[in-house]
Amino acid sequence: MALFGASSALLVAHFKTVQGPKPLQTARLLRHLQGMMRRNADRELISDWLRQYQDDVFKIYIVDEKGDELLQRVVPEALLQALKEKPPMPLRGFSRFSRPGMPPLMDRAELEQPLFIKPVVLNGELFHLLIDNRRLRGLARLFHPFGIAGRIVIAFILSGAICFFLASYLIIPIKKLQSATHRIAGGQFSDSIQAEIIARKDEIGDLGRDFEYMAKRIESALLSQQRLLRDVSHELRSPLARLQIALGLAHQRSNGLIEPELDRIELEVERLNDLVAQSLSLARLNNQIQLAEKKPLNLNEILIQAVLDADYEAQEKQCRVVLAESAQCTILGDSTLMLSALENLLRNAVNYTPVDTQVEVSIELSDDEIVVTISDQGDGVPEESLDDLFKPFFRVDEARTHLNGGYGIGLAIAERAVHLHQGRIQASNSENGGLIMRIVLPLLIDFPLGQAVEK
Amino acid sequence: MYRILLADDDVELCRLLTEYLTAENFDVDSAYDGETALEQALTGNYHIIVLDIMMPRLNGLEVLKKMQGKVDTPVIMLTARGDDIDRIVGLEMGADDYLPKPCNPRELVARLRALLRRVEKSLKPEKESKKAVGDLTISLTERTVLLERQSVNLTSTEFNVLQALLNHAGEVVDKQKLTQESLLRKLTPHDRSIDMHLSRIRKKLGNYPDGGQRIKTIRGIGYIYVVQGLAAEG
Repeated sequence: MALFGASSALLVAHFKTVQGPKPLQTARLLRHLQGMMRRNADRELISDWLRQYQDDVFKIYIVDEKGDELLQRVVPEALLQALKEKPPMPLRGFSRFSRPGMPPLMDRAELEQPLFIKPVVLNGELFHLLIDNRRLRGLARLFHPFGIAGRIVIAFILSGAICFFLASYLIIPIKKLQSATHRIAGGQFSDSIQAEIIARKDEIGDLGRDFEYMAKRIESALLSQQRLLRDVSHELRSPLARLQIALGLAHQRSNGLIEPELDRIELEVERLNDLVAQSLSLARLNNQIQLAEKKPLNLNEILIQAVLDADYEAQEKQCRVVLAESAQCTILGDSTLMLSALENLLRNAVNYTPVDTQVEVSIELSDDEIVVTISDQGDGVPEESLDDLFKPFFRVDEARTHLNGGYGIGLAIAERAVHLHQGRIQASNSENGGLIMRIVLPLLIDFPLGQAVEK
Repeated sequence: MYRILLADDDVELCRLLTEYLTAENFDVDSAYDGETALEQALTGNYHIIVLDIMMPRLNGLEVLKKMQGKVDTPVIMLTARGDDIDRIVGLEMGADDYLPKPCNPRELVARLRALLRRVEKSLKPEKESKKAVGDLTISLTERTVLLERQSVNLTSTEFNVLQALLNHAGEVVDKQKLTQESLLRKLTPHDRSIDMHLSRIRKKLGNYPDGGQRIKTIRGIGYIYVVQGLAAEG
């Protein structure tokens, strides 16, 4: 904007607001006339000469003794008035004009007179050359092509064009870089920087290339972390499988002597198995950018199935899982994935709710969203840790050795699965202490509920 | 004594499992790659085949595909734990049961025995040779299914599942009962075997001509084979 203002001011200052020609132009006109006087030009010739200036912005007039203008134009009243007041002063020869090659006899002040009048004798006839040199005033001055308004308009158009050019050259690419960094932050690493920025040879191009390099580095670091988790889990499976069979053999041969110990080992092997399976699920979900298969799903049915399964498991520790509120609704997604997300969230809630309490589940609809709420009656989670719950293997308290261990991978899987369904999960503490998980999913509106929906 | 073909590329695992299964009174042969497994399977010398998916040269699914139509030995598929896709594809290919790996050998033995009982049961001639429900006729002796006189090609396990469902046509059968009657074993937690078999049967039979569902899912409980005449009268 500063640039715009400065260029406008510069343009305004550059023009003067005078109606007539510049002194040098006037002198040139006079020299022309002088030449014509010498050649005894007649009235016709003078008219022709005058006609070539007819369309100029600066009007020059020649009137004869009777006051008639040669081209029958209307002469400004002020000029005629001045002519009347000025005593007729016939010229003695042409000595008042400059000679060819000589500097003009008239000085600058004379040439710039507001009402310039010059008697000329042509063919023995007296004419007057009249030039309106007055400064423009008021509206005339304002709307004159080179008046203030005109100049401002021109200045605006010109500096606007310059500013537009500068903006498109400097600001638009910066905006594009900004959107690229947003994409990088959102997890899209490859091709995040636009090709047109990479191709630039200036500093913005350098910045773009640096960004691209940085994105690649982050991506490879992230990928190698995920790959490590996946590979370790994958490699753990074979020894675990053998361990389980060996354990079976030990069972066969123990004759009941060390049965409790073997059962304990079996339980831990089972836990390891689950952990490995979950790590692999998470690794697979992390590799997915979008759902491979999308179908209209009846979320209510899926939720009921998950609640019934979780309730069955919860009864082992004298807890219940109840569906307090249900609503028929349809989402677009993958039923297996959605079910596993809900199962993980419910299992977590059951894990942390005390014995003899219940986990409450409800489903509510708004205009375009579905909100599934799962609330337990456990101790909740410190406010500052709420967002970290969805990180794999997160523990609320590093030193805490809870019987249930940390939050494991279940919540990370659930978060990723919901994310793939264009939804989000929010964790919060309820007023009476428990943890509340809110799963918000987009409602598939155009799908009539009566239609068959895959469960 | 039952003869089992164990196909898995983990040699040590095969050795351990052979030892375990021998103690459980099975006669076990091992194959460490897909090609050998297929070769041995095609001899028809086995009562049951345990097939791992991840194998060199030919994977488990390819072995299963090449076996189809040549030998009808029942197959238990070992799928990698946490790979749901493999599991679904395996059942879609027509395996008789699946077990996620790593697995508890006791669970494997239970599945093997159940599958063997099922096969034996299906070999015995039934008293009632034919059963008709609506436009569907199944022959228990020939183990064939006719839908409006068109033959429908079902695997042995799918036939058992359909038979169990038709035995209670028009009423809801819960998943425990259905698993027990058709797969001859108990339903275990997170066991979606029966759902997979039913989804395959559903696909093969299709809906009723008027668009009504033939096999309905009753949420959280089980399944029902809808009898249209009954519904109209009721």
